Amino acid sequence: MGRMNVRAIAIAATVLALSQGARAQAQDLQLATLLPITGPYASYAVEFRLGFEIARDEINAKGGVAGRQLKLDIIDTQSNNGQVVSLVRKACGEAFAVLGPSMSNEAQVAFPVANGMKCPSISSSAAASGLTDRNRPWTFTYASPAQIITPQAVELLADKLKPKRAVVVIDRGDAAANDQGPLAEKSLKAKGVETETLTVSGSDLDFGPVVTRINGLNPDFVVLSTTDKGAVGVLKELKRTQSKAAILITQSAFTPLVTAAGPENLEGVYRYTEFDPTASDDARVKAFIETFKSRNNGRAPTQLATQTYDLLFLVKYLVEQVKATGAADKLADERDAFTKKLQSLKDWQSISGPMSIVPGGYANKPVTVLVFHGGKPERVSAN
Amino acid sequence: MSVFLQQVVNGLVIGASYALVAVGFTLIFGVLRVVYLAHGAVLVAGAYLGLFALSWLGSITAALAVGTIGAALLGLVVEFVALRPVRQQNHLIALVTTVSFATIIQETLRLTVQSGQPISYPDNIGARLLQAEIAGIKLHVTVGQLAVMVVALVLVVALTFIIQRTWLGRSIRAVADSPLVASMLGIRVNAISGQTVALASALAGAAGVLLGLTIPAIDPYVGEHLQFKVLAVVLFGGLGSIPGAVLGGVLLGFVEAMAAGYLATSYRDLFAFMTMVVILFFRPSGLFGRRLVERV
Repeated sequence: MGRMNVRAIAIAATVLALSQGARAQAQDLQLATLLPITGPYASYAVEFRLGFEIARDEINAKGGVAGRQLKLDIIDTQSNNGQVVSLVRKACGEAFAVLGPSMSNEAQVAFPVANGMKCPSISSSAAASGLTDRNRPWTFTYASPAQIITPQAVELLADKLKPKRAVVVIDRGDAAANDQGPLAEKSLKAKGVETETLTVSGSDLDFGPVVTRINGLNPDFVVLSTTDKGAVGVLKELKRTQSKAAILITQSAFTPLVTAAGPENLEGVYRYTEFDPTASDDARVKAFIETFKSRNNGRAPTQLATQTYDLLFLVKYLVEQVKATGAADKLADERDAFTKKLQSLKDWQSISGPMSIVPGGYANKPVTVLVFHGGKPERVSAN
Repeated sequence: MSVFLQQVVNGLVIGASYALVAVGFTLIFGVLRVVYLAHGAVLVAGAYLGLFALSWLGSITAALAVGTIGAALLGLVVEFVALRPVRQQNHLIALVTTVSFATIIQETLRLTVQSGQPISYPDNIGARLLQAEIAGIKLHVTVGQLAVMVVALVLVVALTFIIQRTWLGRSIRAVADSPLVASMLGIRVNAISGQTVALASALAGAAGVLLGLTIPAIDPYVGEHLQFKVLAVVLFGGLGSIPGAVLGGVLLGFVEAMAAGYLATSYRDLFAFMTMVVILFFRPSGLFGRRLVERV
């Protein structure tokens, strides 16, 4: 009898512990987060992931989301579009909302699936034109799309620098680059600049041939709409061959790898962005930069990290506003309320400034054009 | 004309890079007749080791030494774990084991070094531009690119000498022809196999460091695409032919430079592989390969 009592108590204790654990897990707010942890886009994922994790840690340290701990289920897309479709389908079946994919390539295939499943899917930085317009009302991007900011930036520089001849270098294999490059070309031609387009590939190791060709055309303005490795390769070769052309690096190309090219290579180089954290005086931004650097071998963040950081705080805000519980029987209604709240977002205070969502499902933020002098970015004014 | 000549120089530079990698590859693939797909990963490991040595010691010589020796040691491990146990089996098994080992190397680098972010070699003498004027036409090449060309040339001479004139070379060829007969003649097959892979891996490590000095950035996957091109170079240069590997690399580099320079970079790979297919169609054993006859 004594042994049976002990056994019964042990079983009861185990059941109680398991139910406590299950209850604790039910209280967590779980978000599926699609990131290219491996594959050709892995370098971008470092920033995306760290921005999310810093935000998650800060949110959870201050009590979580409406008292619930925030849990990120990070799913590796392997930079593989074929994988993304099944991953987003699975994520939409399990999580309240999906954060990502962050890359335009991947969002192009994921967004139709999420929209079809009536699952809120928010990309932090997919900026290819028309992504969210084609997938209303369930998909959003925290980035301003290329069709808005690229022409703004190129036109500003065309008015300021008054180039006569330009070359646009495009990596056709990258969706964002393949979007921004033609937009830059169109803007330059609209300004009466004689423009030629050349292509590079993400797998190129040597950029001598394309730079020889650029130099042969003798442009006074070069736009690099490539991935980061392509931008560094062409930039260094242009500098080495003492090209006199002004150089603009598009948003898709600019990552810490380009910053690491060094002050000499970046001298006089232009870039544009929705937000450059290193140029901000905001105390919260500075604190974020220090935390980021401490977790990324001293490398400072770009807007890729601030976008994911902001996005998680935005999700926290929205979940608390609509009082979403994540309960299975209320999922459809809560997702609907969440999406409507996001669609109507106006002047929400992010660390990059006030942010609104437009009817097309993307963020409306003004473009900032910067030029590097002495290794530091300085704002470029229109006149 | 100056643009055309500069593209010719660019082609030689690209070709020398391929030749540098192909020379080591052809030793294993062509001489030992093993399907070995870890060469690219060993090259990348050598590049990373060289980067650390350069960052800590500030010396390119030290970077080359560390990259070469480190890659050779890694090659020994690959041979022992991924090749030796399956030497007598179907070639496809060696393909699978070496691809698996390559994945292990790549993922280890990704997980341990800056989360796989691309890293550039620090600016060094390799980036310095050398200019020459020939008949009024200015041409340029960097110190690093010139080093790649010189090293590739030196290697072809040195390796050809080793394979043709030294005891090690004779042993390697004997093992390639028949491991059984070689062992009956007193040649330690396992030791020769290990030494061959180590030698080829040392070449890969050196190639990795030299390429690291010239390309924009390295990451754990940079060897993958390069490896498949170099595999094709080895095939169309002629299996087991070191001069063929060099000539094949140079020819491929030239075709790529011309395609990128006068059409579009996106045609680079298309024209490169088309050239190889055409050559292999007319000469299946490759430019310098000998016809392999299997007697029954």
